[in-house]
Amino acid sequence: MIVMAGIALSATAETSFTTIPPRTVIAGNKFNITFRLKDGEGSGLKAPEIKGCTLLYGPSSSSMRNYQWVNGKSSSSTTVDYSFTYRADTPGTYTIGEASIVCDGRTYTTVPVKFTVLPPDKAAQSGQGARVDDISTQSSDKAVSANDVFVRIILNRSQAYEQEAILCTIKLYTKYSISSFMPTSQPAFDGFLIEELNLQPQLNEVEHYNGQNYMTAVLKQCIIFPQKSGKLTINSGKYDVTVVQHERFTGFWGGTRPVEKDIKVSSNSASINITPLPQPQPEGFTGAVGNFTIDSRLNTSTFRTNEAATLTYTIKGTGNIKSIKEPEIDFPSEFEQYAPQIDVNSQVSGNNVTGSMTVEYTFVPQSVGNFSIGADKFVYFNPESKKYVSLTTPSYDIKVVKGADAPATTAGVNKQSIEAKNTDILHIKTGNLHLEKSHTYFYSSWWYWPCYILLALMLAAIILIYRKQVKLNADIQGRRLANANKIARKRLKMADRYLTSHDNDKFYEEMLRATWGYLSDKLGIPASRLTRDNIAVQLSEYGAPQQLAESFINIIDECEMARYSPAQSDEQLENLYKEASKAMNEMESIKRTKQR
Amino acid sequence: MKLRIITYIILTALITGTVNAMSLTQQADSAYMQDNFAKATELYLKIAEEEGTSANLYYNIGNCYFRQGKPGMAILYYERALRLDPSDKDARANLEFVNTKITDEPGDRGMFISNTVNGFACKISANIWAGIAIGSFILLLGAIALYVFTSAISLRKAGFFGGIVLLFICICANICASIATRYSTSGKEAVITVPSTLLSTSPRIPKDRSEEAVLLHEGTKVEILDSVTTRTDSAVTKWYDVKIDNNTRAWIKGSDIEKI
Repeated sequence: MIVMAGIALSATAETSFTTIPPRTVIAGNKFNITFRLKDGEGSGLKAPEIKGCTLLYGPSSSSMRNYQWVNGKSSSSTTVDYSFTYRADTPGTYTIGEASIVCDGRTYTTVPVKFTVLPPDKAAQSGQGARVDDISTQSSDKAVSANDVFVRIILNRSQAYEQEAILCTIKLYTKYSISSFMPTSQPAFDGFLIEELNLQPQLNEVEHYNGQNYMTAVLKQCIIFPQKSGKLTINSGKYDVTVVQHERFTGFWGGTRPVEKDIKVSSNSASINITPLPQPQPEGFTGAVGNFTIDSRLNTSTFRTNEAATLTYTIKGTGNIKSIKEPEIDFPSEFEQYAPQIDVNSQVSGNNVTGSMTVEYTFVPQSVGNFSIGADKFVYFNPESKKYVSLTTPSYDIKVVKGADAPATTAGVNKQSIEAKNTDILHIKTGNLHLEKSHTYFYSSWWYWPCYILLALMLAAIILIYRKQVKLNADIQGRRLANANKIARKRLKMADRYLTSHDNDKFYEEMLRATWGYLSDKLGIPASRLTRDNIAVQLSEYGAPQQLAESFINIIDECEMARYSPAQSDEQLENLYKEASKAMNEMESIKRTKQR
Repeated sequence: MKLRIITYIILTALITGTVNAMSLTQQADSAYMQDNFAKATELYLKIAEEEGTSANLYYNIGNCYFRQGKPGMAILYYERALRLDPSDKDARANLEFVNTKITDEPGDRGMFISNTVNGFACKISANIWAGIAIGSFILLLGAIALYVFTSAISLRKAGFFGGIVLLFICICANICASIATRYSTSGKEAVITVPSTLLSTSPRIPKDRSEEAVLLHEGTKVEILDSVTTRTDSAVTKWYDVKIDNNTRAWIKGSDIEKI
């Protein structure tokens, strides 16, 4: 057991040699520098000389031993401190050089450490004012002035661009020690987005400000991003502070005792001029200000239908990473898309915010074929170079092969209606533009309605001409009717001439022709269609009495007969002639009973 | 011989003319392809000035303006293209697209029936309507002639009823031609070409809140009802009484709108 403990002990022993620098050094004061040796017994300490400081005393060594029992295991450690006391002579920054010590035959050296010697408070004020390093000046009969305890809002720059990171520090300065500190109203950051640093306020630094030395504590530190341009102001905060003063008392022991005093402290208000981002802002700029890099990666190399794949898009850098809008990747419409998963990881480092934004796009190809995922342009403004920087991710050409069938689809081909992607105007028309100097509208031109009238008149004229022609045709019959008697008389006269010249054959022929012609004209029937048999009917239809028809038939019969019979007497001929003229006269006197 | 020389001169003039036109158009087209929209607009406007206009030319100018981020002017030129050729599908599609990009969304305009009739009439250009009207009138005359000249009952019947149908078609086509011609030539509609303008209840710049009628943005189409020219000591301003939709009427400054 003891052996084991010994092994454990020797195993944990790790010798180290470090410098513990002084906390606060004000010129003219004494201070200590300690070199600490852990877990070892050293000899032959060599301490460096420190410029600007006078060695008053040293080294004095003190040692410490430490035993620990944890879960039945024991561990021990030893610490040896070698202290030197110096006096700071002049303000400035000094380096504590390497100190070395020999331990178990090995030489350990310290790492050089820097420390600052602050100038003392200005003489004019040090007479009556309180001093950090001297509690005798912090007596309770003194009023705590605004110069003794105050809060400052410190911005690391006086001018910034919109969305550019600004480091804001709120610091407490005090000459007294503080026993309680309560903010009653915090400074208001109107018009800023705040990224806070987590820190525990500690009253430890001594700072030289306005010729005085103060104990300081950082109350709050944050990176602020201005959201608008113009002069922005951070309102002052108000704090209730209890300070500790030292009251001198007399008596057997004498000395001082602490007395608490409540005071109210308000900070200054800080203003900063915010410059708007230069115009014109390039296309695709969504407000990222800082310095970024982008990267996009497809996490699969083979794509199958109905199998999910992801595209990871990373924006890394410093700046307003939390305000960056996630890029919109141009996926083909045949891909089913899910809401992208956004993961922003950021922390404050130095006077800016560093981090990364990871966007995971999950998509499911729906159909087989070659597709392309469009390139994305990421534009940010670099406030240092005062320029817009444009980064582009590559576009990916993807070949989708057939994967498993979608489980929910019914049998048959999964048909898709063609979706009209109405995202832009159509292209211009090239080629012949069919230019015209002036545009005429037929409807409003003077000849439009006259054109109708003209056409109507043309039809009317055609109809009129037609009607006239019909009438004319009707008139030919009328003339024939009117002239029937005249022609017949002419023929009869001719027959009469043949009668006197005793040319019998010619006489009968002429008689027949006169009769037939007369009847044909009168009845309006072509002579060829007129026969001996239908004359009677036609005549009665015409309105002639029976006796007249018989007389016509008689004339025709006699003429026909006489043409083939031997010569006849002149008297007979004369009678026939008379009968014919009489019949015709009679016929003329009959009015037409029926209009055809 | 003389005739031949004259023909030759005319022919060469025609050919060089067309070559010139092609080159100017091609310059404009290539400027557009190279995303130099300002230059393309300039060239197209020059073509319009020198060689005449057409629906296609106005359509291209509209595209140029849209690419330059001027939706008001783009809408103006698409409307002008549609005035010249109401059947231009591309111009209508682009007009509808640009109309989705503008700020204002006016209420109902006109009545349902008149909108339907107007929409039907403006599907075809006025000249085609006029042609249909005259053609149907000629056929009507033919039908009358058929009725008058033939004696067969069936043909006369066909002439009679055909005539009635053709008369109806002729009247409708004339109404449509009238509507389409008015659509193309009225010049009563205008488009707002400034980014935004405050309309007033009377023909002057609004003096207080109660005189402010409505705030309109670029690209909104209005109908001009009346106009007034006001003279102040320094300037002559023209004001238009415009109808934005069935419920809204106000006065707008003449310089803020462009007549279609």
